[in-house]
Parts: sequence; C-alpha cells; structure tokens
Amino acid sequence: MKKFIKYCVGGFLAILLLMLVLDIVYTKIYETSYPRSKFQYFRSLKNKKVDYIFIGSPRVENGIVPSIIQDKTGKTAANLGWQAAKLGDIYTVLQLIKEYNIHYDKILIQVDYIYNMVEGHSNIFEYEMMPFVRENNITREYLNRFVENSDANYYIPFYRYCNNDLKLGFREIFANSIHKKNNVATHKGYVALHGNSLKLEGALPKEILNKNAILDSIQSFIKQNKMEVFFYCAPFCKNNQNTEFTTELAKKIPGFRDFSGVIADDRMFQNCNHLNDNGAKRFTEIITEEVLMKNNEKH
Amino acid sequence: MLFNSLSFLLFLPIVFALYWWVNKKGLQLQNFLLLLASYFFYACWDWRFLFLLLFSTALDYFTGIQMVEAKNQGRKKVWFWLSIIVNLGFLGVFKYYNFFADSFAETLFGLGFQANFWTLQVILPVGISFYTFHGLSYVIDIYKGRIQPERNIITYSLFVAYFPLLVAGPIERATHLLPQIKKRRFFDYPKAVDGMHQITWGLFKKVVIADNCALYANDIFDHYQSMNSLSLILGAIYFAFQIYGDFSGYSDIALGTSKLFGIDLLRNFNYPYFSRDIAEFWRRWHISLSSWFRDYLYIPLGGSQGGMMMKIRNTFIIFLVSGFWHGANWTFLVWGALHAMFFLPLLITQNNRNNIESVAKGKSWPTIQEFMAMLLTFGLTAFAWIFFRAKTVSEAIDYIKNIFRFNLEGGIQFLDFERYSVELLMLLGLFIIVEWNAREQEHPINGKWAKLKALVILTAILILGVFSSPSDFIYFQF
Repeated sequence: MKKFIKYCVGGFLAILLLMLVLDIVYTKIYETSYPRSKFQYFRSLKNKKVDYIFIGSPRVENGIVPSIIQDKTGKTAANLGWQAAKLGDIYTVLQLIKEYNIHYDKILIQVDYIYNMVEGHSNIFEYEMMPFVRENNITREYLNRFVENSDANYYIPFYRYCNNDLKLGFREIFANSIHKKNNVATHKGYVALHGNSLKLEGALPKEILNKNAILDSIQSFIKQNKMEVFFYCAPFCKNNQNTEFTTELAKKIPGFRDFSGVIADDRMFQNCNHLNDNGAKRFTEIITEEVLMKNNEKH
Repeated sequence: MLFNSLSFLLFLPIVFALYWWVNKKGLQLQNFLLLLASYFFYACWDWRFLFLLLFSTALDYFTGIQMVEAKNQGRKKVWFWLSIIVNLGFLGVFKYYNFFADSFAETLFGLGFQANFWTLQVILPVGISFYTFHGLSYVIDIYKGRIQPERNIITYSLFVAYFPLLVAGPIERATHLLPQIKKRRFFDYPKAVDGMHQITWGLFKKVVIADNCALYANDIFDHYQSMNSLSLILGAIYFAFQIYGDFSGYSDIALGTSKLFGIDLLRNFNYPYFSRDIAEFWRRWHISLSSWFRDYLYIPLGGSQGGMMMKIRNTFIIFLVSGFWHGANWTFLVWGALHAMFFLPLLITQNNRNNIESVAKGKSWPTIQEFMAMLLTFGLTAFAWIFFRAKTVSEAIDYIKNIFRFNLEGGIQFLDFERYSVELLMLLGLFIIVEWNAREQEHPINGKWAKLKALVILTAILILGVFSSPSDFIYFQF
C-alpha cells in the first residue's frame, strides 16, 4: 500500500509539474507570438503611439475601419471593439490603455443600449485575456469580478487553458507558435461583416436606467487621468424602434454624439445593429469627417 | 457524478482510503462501506431513484430465496415470474411507456382516430437498464439452478449497486461477481497500478477521442442538409469513434476503478473496430450485453439448435431486442435490424465463427484481405451508427440520401465551430495506430514503459482533451 501511495503521490506531482510547464510554455507563446486575437493585438500596442483608439462592442469591431482613418487623416487608429462587450469590458480596456502605457490623441467610446446592462461581460474578451491574467491587477480584478472559478483560473497552473480549450487550446497554440497570421493585426482590429439580413428591424430599450455605476466609474477614471475621450452612438437601421433612447442617453453622457440615424440606406447593414463592410467604410468616413478632422482643425 | 468530473476525483480516493482502512476489520464492513459509497454515488444523480434501486434489489433478493424455498415447481414459477414481470414492468414504465403510447396514438391518428394518451413526464432513472439486467440474470440463474441465492443482503445489494458498474455496466453475472464480493480482498499493487493505467486510458478515450469527435459529429449531424457527401461520411466516422471512445472509455474507467478495490469486472470491449466481420464485431463490442442476450434470450429461444429458419428468427429477435434495449426510439430498432441483416449472410453460410482470434495475431500488419475485411466491417457499423445517432428514422434516411448525392463541392468543409477535419483525422489516425499495437492486450498502457506511456497519455489528455464543453457519457441515457 505504501508503494501505491508513493506511486499516486508521484503521479500527482508529475501531473502538477506537467501543468506548470505547460502553463509557462503556453503563456510564453501567447505573449511572444504574432497577434492572432484582439487582446494580443491590444497588448502589441504597449508603449506605442496610436492617435485614435475606438472602444466598444461589436458595433465598433464591425463598424470602424482604421485604414480609412489613416488614409483620410494620416493618423493611426486602432479598433478595440469586442464581441459582446459591455461597459465592464470597456472600463477594463480603458484601464489597460493606461497600464500598457499606450499614447493616444483621442479615445472614442461607443455607447448604446449597453448603458442599460449593469451586469455581464464579454466571454470573448474574457478568454482572449486569459493567458495574461497574471500580468497585472487590472486583469486580476476583471477575473474576480466576472469569471467563475476565478481563483482556479488564477492559481491552478494550466486550468485557464483547459477551461478555454476550444479557443486557447492546442490548435490555437500551434497556430501561434508557427506565427500563423490572421487579419486581426493587419486590419488593426476591424472585422468586416458581409451581406444583408432579410429582416432589418430592431428595437432599443423603452426605458433608460437612471444611473449606471460602471459608466460613472469610467467617467471618474477619465477625469482622474485627464483622458481625452469622446462618447458616441453608432448607426442603427431605419426600422429601429424606440429611437428616443439615444436622445435620453445624450442627456446622461456629457459631450455624447448621436450617430444612430446617419445611415439611412439599409443595404449598408448586415443586420439592424451592425453595419456590413460597405456600411462600416461609410460610417468611418462620416465619423472621421465629423469628429476627427474637425478636431484636427481645432488643434 | 461523472467519471470525468472533479467530484469523482475527490470521491474515489476517499472511498479507496476508507475501503482499505477497514480491510482488517473484516469483509462485511468492507462490503458495507462499498455499498454505502455506491448508494451515495447513485444518489448524486438523483436521490429519488435510490428508492427504485433499493426496491429492485430487495425484490430480486427476496424472490431468489423464495424460489429455492418454494415447496413445488408451481410456486417457484410464481416467484420467478413475479420478479421478471416487476423488473420488466419498471423498465417498461420508465423507459418505454411513452414510446408505446405515442406510437399507438400516431397509428390511430393515421387511421383517422383521435387519441390522446396520457404520457408520463418522468426522467429515466440512470442505469436502470443495467441494474435491471443484473437482477434478471441473477433470478434466471437461480431459477435454472445454476446458482444458489445469496442470503447476505449486503453482499447481494453490493452485487447490484457496485458503483463502478452501476450506471453503464459492464452487465455483470452473479456467477462472476458474487464470488469475488464474498471473498476477502487483499491489496494487490500491480493490479492497482494497472487499474490506474486503465483509468488513464479510459479518460483519454473519453476526453480526447470521444469529446473531440462529438464536437465534429454534432456539428455535421445538426447541419447535415448543408453538408457535402464527404463531410457526411466523415460525420458517420466521427460518431463511430465518439461512441466507441465514450463507451469503451467509460468501461475502462469502470474496470480500472474496480481493480483498485481488488475486484475484476467483465471485459466489455476488445478492439471492436479491428473486426473482420459483424459476428466478430459483436464478440468485441459491448461484450457483457451481447453475451447476456446470447445466454438469457438467444439460447432459451432455441439458439441454433433448430433449423435455419429458427436461427434466422432468433437472430432477428436478439438484434431487435438489443436495439430496443438502447432506447425507446425507432432509430434503435432500425439499427438493430440493420445489424441482423449484416449478420444474416454469415449465419446462412455458417461463417459466423470464422474470426475468433485477434486479427494478425503475432504479426505487425494485417494481410490485404484482412485489412479490406476490417474496412468493410467498419463501414457497415458506421453506416448503422447513422440510425443510432439520428433523432428520427427519416432524418437518418435523409442523411444517407445526401451521402449518395455524391456532392463533393467544397471538399473538406469548414465547420460551424471554426474547424476543419484534418487535425481530427490525424488524431484518429494516431489513436488507431496505438490501439492496433495494443490489440492483444487489455489496454495500451502496460509493459516495460507503462509509467512513461501513462505520462504521455496524461500529457495528451491535458493538451488535447475537451474540458470546456464535455459531453455526457452516451450510455448513461440507456
């Protein structure tokens, strides 16, 4: 029996050591490889200068084309919109911009119906961030706040990779290790949508929250760090119900700019909330002319 | 409590430690502890069904004794049939009532009658098909005079509820398991280590092979209308490996776990995809069930004693019942019927016992003839699995029709969950090579480099396993 206990303890320690080694190897690869995820791209901007940074949900990710901004203004831009992002994710991105020492002229934050979402976070932002959770307190805080089994993800070696195996597992690590490129960094975070849905209808919330604590935190963080931030709302399709929501939203956020109705052509939308590639190009031109170029004129 | 869950990872060492700690205090205490652990294990699924298990156990225990003590053959028969009817009645109510009620209502509706049968909104008690068959074999064996009834209620209860085999087999025989339970066990280091290795291999089959195949198979079966012929063929192959990895993986974990307690369970799988004909396949796939049907259904029906027509009839009965045992769905019946049809040519030509030994025994490679025979057998089983996997018979027929459209547009398609099939095919290729080299052993992690092999397999589990979206063991639903 003693021999068997020794065998089991040895086996357990071997597994633990294996997990530790795998964790180190995986993390190192994710830290050093060519950026394949949006978060890796974000980290690649550390200590760099990006003139315009766009933050938000997929309505940013699929709606802002940084190359057009560069063509029109000669200035660099980064699209840091995430699928399913809520205000909590946006706040974390904002904090990390400071943490990563990314220099910028202006940060543009897209806010819409997510103002009403006090709970929740982007699971995509979560898993993309996982390899870097031990990097700083901001990622740790995010983990504690939003992720189940946060301590297991943080302390147990390799647990975070097992827990996100379909996204961060062997397949992705292999692609990272051979520096297999995708379009994330090439397109500076922009992801194009194509085609049109048959049914272009949508609805904003009928009511608006009186207060949103996360947005308050965002605004006090901006003030505290003297950040140059511009809030706006991206376009919706024509048949969108309860459009007065954005009017109410403008009252809640100082300097908020409502672009929700600037594109009337439904052919520009993939679905009511999201622009397709043509729409994204068109809207990027609009926001560049209306905000960024006017801003340059002022300076 | 799944075998591949953290709770089982805590449960097993605790039970193991207590079990060997009470070893010196006597066999009864050891068995009692194992029984309590088994009931706890079962209660973790749904404590309410524990009463069903207790009732089923008590019924068979009691009728077993009553049969032997019966004053005449008539009374013995009464007790025997009481047990059979109640056991099958439970199975019928919980597993088949809704199926028969719905099918009957549909038939009447087809004839122009409106019938609304009351259907039970109950969940199927986990493992009911397995522990019912344990009880049935025990009662039948006593009735036939093959064994004496067990008079120790703890011993008998443990025979029925022993946790490694409780929810998905193997379906044990009283003649094999009871003597082991009644005999004092001593810790055997080589056996325990072998058990650990078998558990590791079982986990690999489940977490790496079955769960990866499940991702692909589910995606292809769920979107079969938009898949080309190649993807549909691959879907059937993936499901074949999914169900094999899933069920044989479970069996390996069960057998390995049991070895830790010094108890040997019946081997349930013996590399079935290296079979050269369907008869051999059934001697290697879910062995405990196919041998159960052979001993308690096929032989009592007359087996192969009568003429050819009787043999054919009995073969069809056994395969249809086997299919229906899996679940209350026409798909399982068709699956069973298909296997009966595949078996028929072998039976008629009396070639069903041609391949008893392992393929290419003592050799590295099969002959071309053996290889082609294995390929054909696998093709037939994979084809039949389509019916097993599909939700309805018409869905399975549609799936097959789409295969025979010979549409190869798009080659190996990019699946919904952002995967191509190439990497999985490579993994399956490696898996086949490992199994091929181990085909004459119980599992591949043994021999000179067993510990190193175990470490490699553990690494593979960590790197290639599916942990974020594990699928339940398929056979838990049966």
